[in-house]
Amino acid sequence: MRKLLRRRLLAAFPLLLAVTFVTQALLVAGPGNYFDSLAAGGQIPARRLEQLKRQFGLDSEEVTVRYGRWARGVMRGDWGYSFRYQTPVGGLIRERLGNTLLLTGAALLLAWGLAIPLGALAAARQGGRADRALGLVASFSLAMPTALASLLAVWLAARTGWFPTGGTHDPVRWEEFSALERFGDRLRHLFLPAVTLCLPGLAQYLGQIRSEMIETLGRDHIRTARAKGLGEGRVLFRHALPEALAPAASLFGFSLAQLLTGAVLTEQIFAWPGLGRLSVEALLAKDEPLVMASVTLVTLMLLAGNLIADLLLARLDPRVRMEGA
Amino acid sequence: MNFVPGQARFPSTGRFAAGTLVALHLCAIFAGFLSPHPYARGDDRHGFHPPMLLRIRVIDEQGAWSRPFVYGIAAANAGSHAENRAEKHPLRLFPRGEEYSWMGLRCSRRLLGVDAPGRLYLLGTDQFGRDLLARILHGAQTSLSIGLLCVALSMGLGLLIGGSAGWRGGRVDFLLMRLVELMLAIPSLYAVLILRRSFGDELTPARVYLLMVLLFTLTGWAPAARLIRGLFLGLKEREYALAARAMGAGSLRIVVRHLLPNALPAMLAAAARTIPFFILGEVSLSFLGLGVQEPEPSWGNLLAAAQNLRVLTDFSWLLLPGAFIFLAVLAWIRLAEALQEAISPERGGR
Repeated sequence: MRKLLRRRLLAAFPLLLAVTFVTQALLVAGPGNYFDSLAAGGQIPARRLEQLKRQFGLDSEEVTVRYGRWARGVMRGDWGYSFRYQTPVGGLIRERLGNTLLLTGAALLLAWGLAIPLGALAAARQGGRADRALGLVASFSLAMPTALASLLAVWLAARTGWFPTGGTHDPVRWEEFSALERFGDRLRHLFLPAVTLCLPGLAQYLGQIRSEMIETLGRDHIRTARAKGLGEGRVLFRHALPEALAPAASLFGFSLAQLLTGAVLTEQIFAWPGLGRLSVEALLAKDEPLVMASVTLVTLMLLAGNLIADLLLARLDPRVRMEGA
Repeated sequence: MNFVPGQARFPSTGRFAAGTLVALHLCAIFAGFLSPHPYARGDDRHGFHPPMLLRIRVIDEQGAWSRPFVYGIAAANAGSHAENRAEKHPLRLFPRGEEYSWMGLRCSRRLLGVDAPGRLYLLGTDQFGRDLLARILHGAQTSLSIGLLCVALSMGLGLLIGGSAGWRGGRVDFLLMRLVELMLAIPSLYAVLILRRSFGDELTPARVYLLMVLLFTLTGWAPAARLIRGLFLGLKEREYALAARAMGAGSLRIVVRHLLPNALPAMLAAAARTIPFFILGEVSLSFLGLGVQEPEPSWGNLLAAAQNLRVLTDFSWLLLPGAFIFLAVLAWIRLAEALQEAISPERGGR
């Protein structure tokens, strides 16, 4: 287990370097930069342009030079200065990261928390009414584009007034809320984006867990467990489920990549100040330090997700554990 | 894996899904003919006109039956269009409308329409008064063809990479599979966004289209490669492949004549399963404003028009493109499931 951990951490470093370097190269290769577009819009005079570019390190077109400067800064804990927001990137990112983690974490919890019992149920009642109903719901939520689901949710919120249409908390009354009310308010704001974000994943895991469960339920030890006279619930959840979950755990790392992708759109539509929305805005505005920082963070989050998935798999499946040792 | 087209039980949901897809693609091909109005130019007096589908009448003001007709549009502010009862426009089959080009031909016949000052906005209009039906149908051309093109290219790339990994095995396999794992771990939307951004904004619509196909293929081949590798690994140990090798057949012959035909059904099912991801990719990219640009329509940028909260609540028909995306994606998913079930019924597939 420890060896697996060490090997993964060692592999993560070159990957992070490669991803950030390629991003920097693409940013340099792309036409124009933040100040060029400002100058083109007449917002800064031409003679200030060179000075500004030098000040913010955009004067060199050499990828290695630009990357070197960035990497040296990061090593010192300095992520640079956002052009667009006029503040240090570090603080900006920290705030947004918390929001994104909250949203994706909630969606992840919802997706797996619903998929595991429902998948087990569908497998136990294979071909029955519950199974078919769940199958229908699953393909519907898989077919629903995240953008459309989010728009429909906002539409629902606007029409009924049951939920807020965006943001992370009530900006007006936040100050006068008690701790409990604040928690409730957060939850109310979180509910719709988390639900829409979890839909495609939920459908996928549901299908996966169902088919793994069906396979497991046909095995000998399950028959033995039933023959012993164990109750159906115990057979399902104690004997079949852990075995069926092991292959599904490998989906976990993948699910994080999907959630981060989905979060870009969900955050956009629900005006959720998260990392996805920030990176798209940064990319559109060519806010280079911000793009670099958000790419680094997203990659780090993915690596962490994959690592957790591996550890989970090792915990659930002894064969993987032996291989790593 | 005994998939014999004549014998396999093809579930009825699959037939229904296939029918839906054929219909959608026909709609895309005959978009010009099927839409009563041009897609790119609108009448700005008719911005946010609600759908007229439910305003087609068969009973006139005297209470007598008449041929289907619509009333004219009273001049009003955007979004609050009243009917002008003084004008009656009967619906005509195959009228001459505005000219459009179809496969390089100049045509003016349209399926349905009304005479000149009248308008037939069956699904309403957008903020510039452009016919939403026409934009959805023309958008389907982009959105659906991107799915097909990307899946063909990524399957080809996957066949090349996964096929050589599965066939050669050993170190080639190891290296290629690490590459596949890397590709699977990258959040594709981020990669596509950054790559797309580095090509700048001033691109012609055709270039943007090609670029999107390229980017989606580059980021989307990994699952196909992994699947095909697995198939080839299993198939190359089969008796007929071994027999062919024993008889001295070359690698290429064994792969093309023995492995490929047997891998094909599973590859087709996988293709049907992957197409939605490409369609949704286009939707996401265009939704964020980095895909198909105005005035050219695509399902993604049509949906982006509904982003505004006021538009969403007051002019909800602008969500209709979403229904088409949903339908297309659902049909592909159902078709993939049906194909999978026909290939391997024992999995209890869904």
